[in-house]
Amino acid sequence: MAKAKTESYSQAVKELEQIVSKLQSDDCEIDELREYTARSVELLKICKEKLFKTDEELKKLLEAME
Amino acid sequence: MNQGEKLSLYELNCVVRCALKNSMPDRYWVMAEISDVKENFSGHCYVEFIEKENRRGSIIAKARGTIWANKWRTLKNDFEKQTHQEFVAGIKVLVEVSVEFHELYGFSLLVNDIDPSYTLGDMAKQRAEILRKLEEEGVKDLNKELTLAEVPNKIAIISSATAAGFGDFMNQIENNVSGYKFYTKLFPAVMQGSQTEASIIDALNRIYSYEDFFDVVVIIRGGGATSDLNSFDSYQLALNCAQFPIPIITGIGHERDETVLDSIAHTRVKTPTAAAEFLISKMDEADFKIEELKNIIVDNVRVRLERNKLRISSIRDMIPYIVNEKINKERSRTQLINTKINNLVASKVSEQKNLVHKIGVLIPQIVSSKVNKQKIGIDVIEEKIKRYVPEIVAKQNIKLSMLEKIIELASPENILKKGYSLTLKNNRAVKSAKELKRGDRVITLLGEGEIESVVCDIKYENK
Repeated sequence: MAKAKTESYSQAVKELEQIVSKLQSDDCEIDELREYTARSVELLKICKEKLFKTDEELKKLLEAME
Repeated sequence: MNQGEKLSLYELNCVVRCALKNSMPDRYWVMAEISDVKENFSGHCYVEFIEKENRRGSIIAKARGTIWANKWRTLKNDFEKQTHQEFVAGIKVLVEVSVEFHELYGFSLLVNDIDPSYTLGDMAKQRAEILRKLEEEGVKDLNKELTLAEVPNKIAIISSATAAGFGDFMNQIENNVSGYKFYTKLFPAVMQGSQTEASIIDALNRIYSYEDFFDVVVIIRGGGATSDLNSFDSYQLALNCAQFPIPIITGIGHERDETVLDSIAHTRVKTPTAAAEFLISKMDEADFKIEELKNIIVDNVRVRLERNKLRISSIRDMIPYIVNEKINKERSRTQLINTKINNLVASKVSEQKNLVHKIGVLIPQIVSSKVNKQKIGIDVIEEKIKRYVPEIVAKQNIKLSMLEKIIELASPENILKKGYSLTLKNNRAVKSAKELKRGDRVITLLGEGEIESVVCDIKYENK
């Protein structure tokens, strides 16, 4: 059966943590801020959706189970 | 008693009863296993006690026991309350009995009291034995060692569909106040009685085919009256659960010490509701983590921007100073260069002046020396002219007078005077007889006078 996308949340959180450590490091350039911010918004959305939004694909997989 | 005296069976049994009563008047605490329990219509409880041989397990003793209804009600409640275990076949008990003998029913034990702590101890011993075995096999902590998903929202539930506990669980999950999305699937199983073990193992096998889908397996039960928990102390069930590749959460609704299943499960909670709360709390943690990351990112970006703003404004403030400093530095440099240039120019000018002055002095000297040299030449020439010109003039005068003489001697008059004549035709000198023809009129000039003639003959010789 198709594998549920369980990793996407963990990967998103991992990437967010990497962004945090980049932001906290001394070599973070001001030019990179826009890129980091945009990516963070994207990743946070993925994480929130995982928690709060119904995934129709998962529902279908559930319904197909015997 | 005399040897010849005969007794009826009843009399014998009476003797036995009396003898037993006299020799064993006390109550005794006896350890035994229950092999059968029956409660009759009037509430009396009939038990069969056995003892098995340790090594082979064969029965080496057996006795019937009775608990009168009035006692049974109290003892049963106490026992179940303390052990969370029914008074059923298969458990070991410590009972206080008096030895009875009835002429009709024979030997039996009348139960006066039951010590639940013995049963508890024995069950604990059994559980410990199973756990020790699982540990020896290296599987005891396998399920505990699995990492629970950060968002455990895909749940396989093993429960009886009609159990109150299942309803409680679903109610909590579906109506969680935060609005988290869960994906649940019930894999029905019998949760009490002798079928429990096999039924749960069967459900696990069904879930195993969707291993990649589910984040967690929840085994929940009851919530009602305390009942038989023996099934959850099963070695086979524990072995299956310990090796199951998805984390298992148990909420089998009991208050006593952990069952073996609880001990090997990834997470053990008391009730189905608690299991739901646990999963919701995991979602809370995930949400909190995301919020925390969001705040950290926002704060950091803000700090970075603020810091940058400060940096820019400090640079902006510094620029006039830097520019001024630069201007001053350049000014000093320019002045220095200016001074140097002036000095250099002055030195060059003075150098050139000296040179010009030197040349000014030298030129008259050279000119006068040249003039002097030329003057001497002119004087010599003048001297030579003075000396040679009269000589040349005299020589030329002689030459001229000689030439005059020659010219005079060569004049036609002189030549004609010497006897020569000149013949003219049409006023042109005739130099050859070829120029004339018969009849031409010619004039012949002589030293003195002239004659006119007509040509009558012509003689001509080619030379």
